[in-house]
Amino acid sequence: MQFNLNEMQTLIQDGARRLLAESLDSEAKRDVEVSEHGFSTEVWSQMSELGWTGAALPEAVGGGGLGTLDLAVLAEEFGRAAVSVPLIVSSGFSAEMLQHVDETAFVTETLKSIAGGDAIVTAALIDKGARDERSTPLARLQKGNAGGTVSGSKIMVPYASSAQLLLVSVLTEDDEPALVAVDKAAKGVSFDRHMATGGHPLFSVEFDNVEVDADRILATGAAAQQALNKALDVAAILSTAEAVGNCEGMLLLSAEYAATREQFGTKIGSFQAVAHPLADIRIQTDAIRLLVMETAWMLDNGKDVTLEVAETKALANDAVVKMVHSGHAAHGAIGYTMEYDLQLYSRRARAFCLAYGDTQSQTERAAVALGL
Amino acid sequence: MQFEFPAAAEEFRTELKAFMKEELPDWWYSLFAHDERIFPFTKEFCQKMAARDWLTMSWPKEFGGADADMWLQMVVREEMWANGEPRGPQYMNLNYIGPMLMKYGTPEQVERFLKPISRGEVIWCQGFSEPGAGSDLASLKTKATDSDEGFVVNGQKIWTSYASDAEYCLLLCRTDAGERKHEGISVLLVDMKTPGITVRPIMSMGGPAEFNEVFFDNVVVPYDCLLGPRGDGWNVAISALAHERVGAALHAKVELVLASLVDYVKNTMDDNGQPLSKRASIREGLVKLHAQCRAAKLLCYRVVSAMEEGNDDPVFPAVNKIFATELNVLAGNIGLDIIGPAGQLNRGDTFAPIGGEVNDHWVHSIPQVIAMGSNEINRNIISQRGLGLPR
Repeated sequence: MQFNLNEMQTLIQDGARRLLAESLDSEAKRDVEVSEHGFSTEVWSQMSELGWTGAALPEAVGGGGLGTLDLAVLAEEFGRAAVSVPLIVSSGFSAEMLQHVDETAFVTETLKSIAGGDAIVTAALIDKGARDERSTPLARLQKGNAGGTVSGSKIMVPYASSAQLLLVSVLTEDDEPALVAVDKAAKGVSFDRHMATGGHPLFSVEFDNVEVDADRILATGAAAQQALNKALDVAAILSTAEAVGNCEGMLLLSAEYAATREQFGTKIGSFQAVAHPLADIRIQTDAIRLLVMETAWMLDNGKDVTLEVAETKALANDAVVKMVHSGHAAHGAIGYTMEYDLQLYSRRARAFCLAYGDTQSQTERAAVALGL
Repeated sequence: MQFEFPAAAEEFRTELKAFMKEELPDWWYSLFAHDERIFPFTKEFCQKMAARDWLTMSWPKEFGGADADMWLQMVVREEMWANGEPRGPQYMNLNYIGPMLMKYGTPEQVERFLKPISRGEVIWCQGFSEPGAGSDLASLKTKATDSDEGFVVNGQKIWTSYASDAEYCLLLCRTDAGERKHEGISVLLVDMKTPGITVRPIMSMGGPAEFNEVFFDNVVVPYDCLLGPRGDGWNVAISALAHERVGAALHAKVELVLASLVDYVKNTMDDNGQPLSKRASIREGLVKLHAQCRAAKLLCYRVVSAMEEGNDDPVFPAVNKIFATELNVLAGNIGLDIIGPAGQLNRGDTFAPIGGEVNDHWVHSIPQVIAMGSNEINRNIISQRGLGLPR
């Protein structure tokens, strides 16, 4: 039992903290949200130069050979700085999924380009009219002699405008789940940007009879389901790590505010009604960070983590909602302004609770895993 | 980071479980039950633990320990707490009375007081709280004046667990005048058989055995029973309280309650012949408990790990204490609501589901939030020392 970061994790943490502090000030964080691609492509290219985009990928595909735990340390730093990049979807979800499907030349090449930061690979999982990532897909794959045709409408697709490739969940004509890789530039793919609370660039993507080669059909049936589950587990844990960073950032801001703001002739942080909810943010953030770290460690050590991922995400969703409002309560009106940084954290944190498994769905998954 | 106990600790756990199975009698339930056999049994049990070098295993050899790894000690904490703490009151000896004696005791005090602890022979009680000094402990009034024979103690302590069976009391009292209320306090090691000490049990929700009042009426305590510097007892005591808060593996009991509840809801049918486990709110409650229990465990291990490295950040034990005790409360409440009307039947009642254990758990979760530094005091520690908020 050992709770300290190792040398590599410390390097990642320090490096990320420095990079993010130097490259984006508060104003720039607001600017990138409404920029063309919705995130800082500059920070992203610096990250790939540092090898972070492939940190958790095997060395054989040009990765750093590290694990989910190391990536979680990195994700937390992005949360702490309230900076969103395609790390979780591309280096987390997509990279994980591609490692659980048949290893073809295409898959290997794609993993290499994720590792090198040459390509962003995103996930198109939620269908228009379906509930979430785990719902039965409505998009269809019509198989042909030399591949197939993908049709459907997906929503909540992150970073679509900057991605080269989309991993799409579909149903085959036999109603079997399948995973297909679609080039964003392929004929019949179109997308629209949508603005949302979390500030990540989100898109709806139309697939209008998009032809795909046979090697782009990555998995079907149980294999597709399993690859999707594994990848969603990694994404859920990494996004929770990012949310832990959001909460840590909120706590820093709130404690600083409560320690300096005066009312009734005294610092408001001396009132227990203000101080104790902030202490609760400390408690809850620490608790969730440890759950994330242990779960990531278990994942890296090949253990079954269905229960651990599901219960961690469910508990985090619940706790994060409370923390968001405690942060706002401590600040009063100033925290509601766009000028003040609190909103950068609270919007991201609240949106986290809805992605990669909301509270009800993760609770239900955990209940099944508990044998209920 | 690494989230496994050393292999030796897991082997030891197996050995310890077998030992407990052998040693715990059928009637044993918990230290906090009402049964005259409890205290004599716990003493015997401690001596058997001591004979195996398990009782104070993490202490240095020179103090009667076995220089064992902290994680082996953690295994003891978990297995004991999960089994109703058969060490009885002696867990306090291990957790902070012993460490305090090691840190501040004279060689004579070590010989006289510490050695019997490691042999499992003595029960200590803690003379801290007073009717007018609870969370504001430093406002205590029990007074020790000087005389030819030693200190003469007068005053009253309250909420003193195990006082009726204790051989010794770790007494916090005022020996000197001080400018601030934290000054002038000293720690005395008091033989409970000294004339002038009266113990009166307090009837509590947990029964008659849990708490006592202790009255000191001209109690003479020899000068060589002063622990640490005279007048600096506040710092002597504070150094120990951080140890107190990691003392009990509070998550270990919740794990058992949770296992009982999971079993209960799977095997209890509702009016439609469906197991209770199919109800959404019940599923949610049990998942919440499981997740929080895992978190409580990790927060507890984090404190141990920090202690192992000599990191005495007061925030870690405070976070752990609040989280674990509130988890115990939650477990009691979720459990009672799952069971329904019969949930309130006392432990041992013929008609009580799960033997009334959940009700018993709920009752005993109430003082946890208050004892060992109330959760409000611990939230102050986090706010002020962790977050830098003003007093």
